[in-house]
Amino acid sequence: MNYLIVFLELLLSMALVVGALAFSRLLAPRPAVQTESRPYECGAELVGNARVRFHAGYYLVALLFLVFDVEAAFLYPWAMAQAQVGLVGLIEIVVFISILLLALVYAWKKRVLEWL
Amino acid sequence: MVLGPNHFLLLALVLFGIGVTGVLVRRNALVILMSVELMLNAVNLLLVAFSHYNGNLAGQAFTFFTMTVAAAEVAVGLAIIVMLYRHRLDTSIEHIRLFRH
Amino acid sequence: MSDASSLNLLSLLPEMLVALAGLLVILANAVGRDSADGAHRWISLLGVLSALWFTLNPLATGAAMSGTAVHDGLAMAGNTVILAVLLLLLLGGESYLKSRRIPLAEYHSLSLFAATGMMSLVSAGDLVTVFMGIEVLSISLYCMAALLNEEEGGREAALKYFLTGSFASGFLLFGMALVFGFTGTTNLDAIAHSLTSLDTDNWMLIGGALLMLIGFLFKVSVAPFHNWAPDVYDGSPAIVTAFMSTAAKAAAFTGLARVFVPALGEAADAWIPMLALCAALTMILGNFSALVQDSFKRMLAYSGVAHAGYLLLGILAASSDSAHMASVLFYLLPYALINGVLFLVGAAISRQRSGKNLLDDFKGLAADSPLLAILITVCLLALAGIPPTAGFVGKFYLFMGAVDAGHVGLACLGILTSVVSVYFYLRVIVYAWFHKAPAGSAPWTPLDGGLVLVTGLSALLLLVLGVWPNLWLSITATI
Repeated sequence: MNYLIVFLELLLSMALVVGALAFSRLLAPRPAVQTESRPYECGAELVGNARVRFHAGYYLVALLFLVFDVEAAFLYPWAMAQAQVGLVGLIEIVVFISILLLALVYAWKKRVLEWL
Repeated sequence: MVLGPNHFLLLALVLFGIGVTGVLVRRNALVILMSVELMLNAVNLLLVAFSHYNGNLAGQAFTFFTMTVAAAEVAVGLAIIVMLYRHRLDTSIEHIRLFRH
Repeated sequence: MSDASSLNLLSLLPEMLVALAGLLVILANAVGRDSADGAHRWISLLGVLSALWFTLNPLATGAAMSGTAVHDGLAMAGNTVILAVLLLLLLGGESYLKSRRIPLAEYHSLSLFAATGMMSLVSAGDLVTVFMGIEVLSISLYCMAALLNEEEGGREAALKYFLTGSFASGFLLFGMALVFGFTGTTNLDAIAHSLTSLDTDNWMLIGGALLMLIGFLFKVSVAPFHNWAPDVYDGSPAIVTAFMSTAAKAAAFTGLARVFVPALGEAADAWIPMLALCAALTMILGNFSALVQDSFKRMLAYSGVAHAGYLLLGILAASSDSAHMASVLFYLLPYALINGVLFLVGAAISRQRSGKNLLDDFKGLAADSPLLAILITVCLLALAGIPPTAGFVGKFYLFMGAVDAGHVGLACLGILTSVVSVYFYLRVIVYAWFHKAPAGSAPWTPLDGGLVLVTGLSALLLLVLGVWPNLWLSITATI
């Protein structure tokens, strides 16, 4: 006996959901043109998917940039202490930079710098 | 509240713990690499904080070295991961059984 | 800070010569023609030989670079081991490099850079130098492990080595930061000095020491941090395995001794229990895992793990009396030579048979090449610690040191597990002398002359040091 009430309630709730969806379908305004459903209604033209693959060349350049950029951090302490460390410091920093330059020459020779 | 060395220590411990957990739990080589970087950065924070509270610059000088080493490590690590990815098209390390028999 | 008077650059001459040779190899590769492959080898050889000369006949010793590097007996012995391995691989590895098509310039420069890192580590006077040395050697070795990137095993070995290695670096670094926070200095002498006046029962110091220890134990593949070693040793090119399992391990052990014995010696109560536990676990796990291996490379990898345990006994002994450091340094040379030879010769022998580094590849070796069988036998007997080889003398000093320091139980465990290890070393010898080569195996082609010569000399050295240990002991005991 009690289960009849449960069944009726189930029917009623389903009817409510279906009814609400059907009403909104009937009543809601639809975009006149397709552009309105896009992320940008004006301005940038949409090309392809957002999840594109980046070219492998980016990674090579990024790796090189990362290393050279961070190694430059050693120049700042030297620049600050330049008066104290004098000629010895200058020679050391020149050695340091020439080693970095050698790495750059090597990368160049291995054609890392050419865009693939 | 005044910030003391213990606050930095706590923060560094939490960051380090997140990094360690990431390395042990995650199965993606890139995420593991990021977790390792988090561990190293926790140490950087600690070094700079200790350098400040100890009143000498040794810790900050150390940080310069850890930063540059971390950059070199990332460069090599990414190269290795890319090398693996090119053959497998996947950065998961499920098949490698890291830290297991 | 760094004025010219405290630089003392001459004492760093060996490191600088090796680094310079590495840079010159890159330069030769960048500006030279592709055909100039022989140049890489000659530049490396020249660099290594001159560095070895100036290591044994130093122009200057003592602290250099404002105390961040120290050239003492420890550095001298460590540098000698590293350069000897490098020399062995340079002279004996040529045919291997050619046969596997390993890029020569990259291999030679990376091995020289790795050696620079190792040499900085063994002569470190500061935590920063310790860290930089470990990282320079590790990053070079990550690249070297990836040299065979056309093979699945090689790529995975590189990734596994990289991930575990950088994970370990994180622990090491965190420990260093805590020790710096507690003592307020990164200089090893200053740390030792400040610990004499500070209360060492501090959780920051204990935590820092233990975290650093974990980092080091990862690097020297001590149980329970050894799981990476067999896979990495198996997947890497044999010549790189020969390098990382010998020179890198010797450098890491010397670095471990430098940081823990003098600098953190005052806090020994904190780290000795953990070290002793790890040593016991390593000797048991290493030897029993090696028993069941079918691959020669994996068997040697587990035997290397076991030997890390024996060497830890020496560190334990040195923590109570630093004179025992000489026994660690003594054993590093024969250990490094044996493993270098075995990985190289094993790869060359396996190439003639299955090519998969199986133990079965040694079957019938004596019939094909009696000389090679004798070499292998001498090396394996030395690894097992059987007299009259240097391996016996080395193990004897290590175990005696442990007994002196009161670790009698550990010494007994070491002797017992050594007895177990005789089984898997003898197995290869029995295969070589008393088994027939599998039917249908290709006819034997003689090995490269340089390889045979250099391995023969190493085996001879093992016997000579076994009879006259003082030749090398007199150098290691000058610490």
